[in-house]
Amino acid sequence: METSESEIIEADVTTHTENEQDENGESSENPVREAEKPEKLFKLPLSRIKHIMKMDPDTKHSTQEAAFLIAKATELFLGSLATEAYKQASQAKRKTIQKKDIDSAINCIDSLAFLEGVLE
Amino acid sequence: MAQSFDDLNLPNAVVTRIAKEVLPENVSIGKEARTALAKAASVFVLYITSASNALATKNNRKTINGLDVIEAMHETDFHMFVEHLKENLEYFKKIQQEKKDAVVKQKLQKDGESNCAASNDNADENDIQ
Repeated sequence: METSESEIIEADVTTHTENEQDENGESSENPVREAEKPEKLFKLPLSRIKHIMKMDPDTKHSTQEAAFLIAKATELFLGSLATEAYKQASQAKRKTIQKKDIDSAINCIDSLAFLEGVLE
Repeated sequence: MAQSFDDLNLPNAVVTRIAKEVLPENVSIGKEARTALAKAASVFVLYITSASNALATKNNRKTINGLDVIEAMHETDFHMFVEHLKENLEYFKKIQQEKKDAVVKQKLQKDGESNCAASNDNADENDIQ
C-alpha cells in the first residue's frame, strides 16, 4: 500500500491538537477531546524527558525550551503512531490495538523507520 | 544498559492517555501495545535529541536550543509537527514569563511591606516630637 505517509500523519496530528479543518478542507472524524484544559500545556513529565535526553552520550546541555519542544513533539508522535496502529487494527476488523499493529505501522511508514527492530 | 533503558520508559498511563485522545472511544489498546508505545516514545526522544544535537554541533554550540529541535523535526521527516510546536512554544514562553513576573511582583510586594513598616516607625517618632 503506497500512500503518502506524511499526509496520513499530518491529518491525524491536526485532529489531535485543534478542532479545525485541515488544509485539505476535510473535517476530523475523530472526536476532539476538549476536556483537556488549555493550562495543561504538556502531559509527559519534563524531568523524565530530560533524563532520556541525557542518555545520548553526545548531548550535554539543553535549554528548557528544547526539552519542552521535545516533550510536545513526543506527544504528537504518540498520537500519530496510535492513529497509524489503529488503521492496521481496523483493517483486521479489531477494536483493540495490538503490538503487531504498531509493528505493521512501523514497517509501512518511512518516517517511523528509526523504530525498526527496536520494539522486539 | 538495556535494563536501565527500560527504566526510562515514559509513564505507561500518560502514554496511553495521550494515544487514546486521538482514537475513537470504543477502541482499546492491548497491554503489550501500551508498553510498545511507551518504548517507541522513549526512542523518539533519543532520536530527536540526537538529531538536534547534531544541528547544534554543526553551529558550534554545545547546548541544544528550541530552534535546533524545530530544525530536527524537518530533518527527521516530522515536519508536519512544526506548526503546532511553534504555537505551543509561544504559549510556553508566555507562561514562563508570567511565572517570572509573578515572582518579581511578589518580591516587590514584600520589599514594599517592609519599607512601609520602616516608614511607619519613623512617622511615630515624628508625632512624638
